[in-house]
Amino acid sequence: MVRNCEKKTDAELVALSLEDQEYFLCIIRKYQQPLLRYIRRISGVPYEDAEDVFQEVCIKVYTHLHNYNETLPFSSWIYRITRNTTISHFRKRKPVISLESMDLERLASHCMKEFVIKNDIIAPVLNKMDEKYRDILILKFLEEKSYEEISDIIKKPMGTVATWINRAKKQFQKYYDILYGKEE
Amino acid sequence: MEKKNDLGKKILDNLQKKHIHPIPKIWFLGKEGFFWGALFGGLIAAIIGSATFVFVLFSQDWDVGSQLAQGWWNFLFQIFPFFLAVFIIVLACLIYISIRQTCSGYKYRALFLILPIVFIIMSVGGVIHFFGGGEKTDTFIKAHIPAYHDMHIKRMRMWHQPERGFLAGKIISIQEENVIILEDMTNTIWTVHIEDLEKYHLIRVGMRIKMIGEMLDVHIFSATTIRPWMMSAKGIYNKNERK
Repeated sequence: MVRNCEKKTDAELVALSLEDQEYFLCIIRKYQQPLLRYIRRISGVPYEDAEDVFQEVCIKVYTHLHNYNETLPFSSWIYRITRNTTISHFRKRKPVISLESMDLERLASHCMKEFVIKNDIIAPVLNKMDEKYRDILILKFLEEKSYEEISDIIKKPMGTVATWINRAKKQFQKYYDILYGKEE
Repeated sequence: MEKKNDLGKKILDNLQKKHIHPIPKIWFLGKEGFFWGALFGGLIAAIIGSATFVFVLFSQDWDVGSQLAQGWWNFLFQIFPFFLAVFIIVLACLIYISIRQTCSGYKYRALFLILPIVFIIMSVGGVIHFFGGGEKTDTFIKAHIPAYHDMHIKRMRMWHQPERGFLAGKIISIQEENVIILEDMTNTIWTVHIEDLEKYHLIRVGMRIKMIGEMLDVHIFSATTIRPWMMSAKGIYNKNERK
């Protein structure tokens, strides 16, 4: 029986899921698309592989529901679990980033003052970047998370988040210049 | 949309089929409690260590340190309580890691955690030293950890240089008004003349003392200064300690 999830907050859904497992479906459905997209963005895996990771994430979220701290936005908590699960799932291999054209364009527009919109030349730049900087750019400019949310997701102080975003932008520009030459 | 719903249902079926349930809250509370316990336990131990560290440093003879060890650096190297310093640093690291492991510990920059930790350890330790806690702990550790006691003896050996005017030991008898018999750190018996003392001190048999003066002859010493074996946080007095 499908439960009625309308007008319920995440915290309420967590409380209800603890009493009735069926309510957990509401949480799964709410976060399924954003998290699948996020998994693919940070790992570069096909949709089917992302689904496997997402299943693993859901099991972790469900088993750790009692560990959810209501002072933290649920979305940050579930993104944190997703990020950690994805990283450990693909630990053995370096992810090859294959973002969608629109995502690449959005990222580049945030990192560079001027850029030529050629998506095929942006992906190699991202692949050359340090993983932590690439992840933070994805969280900030593609997932559109605030500094506070990113701080909660990657478990780093907000000051560090700001510093990393700044460094990530510089690194993006640096590798772009190295790969394709500085634009005059 | 259909695919999305299928996946959600599949996951839920999987949870039900495998009888997967949320881990009980008590487990997470216990985990959090463990880190807070480690934090407070570590903090208390570090504060006590710091009080002892301050006591050991303050109880040294800084005024004659250079002469005792024939140079300041040598003196510092000999008296510095390395064991306590390492103990405090290790505990400070443990406290830092414990704070980081708590649910909101990641929100603070390392420096904003490290500075208050160091400040609390040193300031509270200093206060405890002032009330005699450092000395008590030092005595306790010396009595229970032989290696620590040996380090103390090594420091005190600087005072066994009679030919250079430094002598320390236990008073075994008071012969006349101005002569005492002293057993030094090598169990040698000395006759010590104290008529040239710059300041008078209450002495009694069994006391451990340190003296500055001059070696007059074999096993005969003339003291111009007598000081207690250990300086206390509240002033000078003698301690009955193991040699």
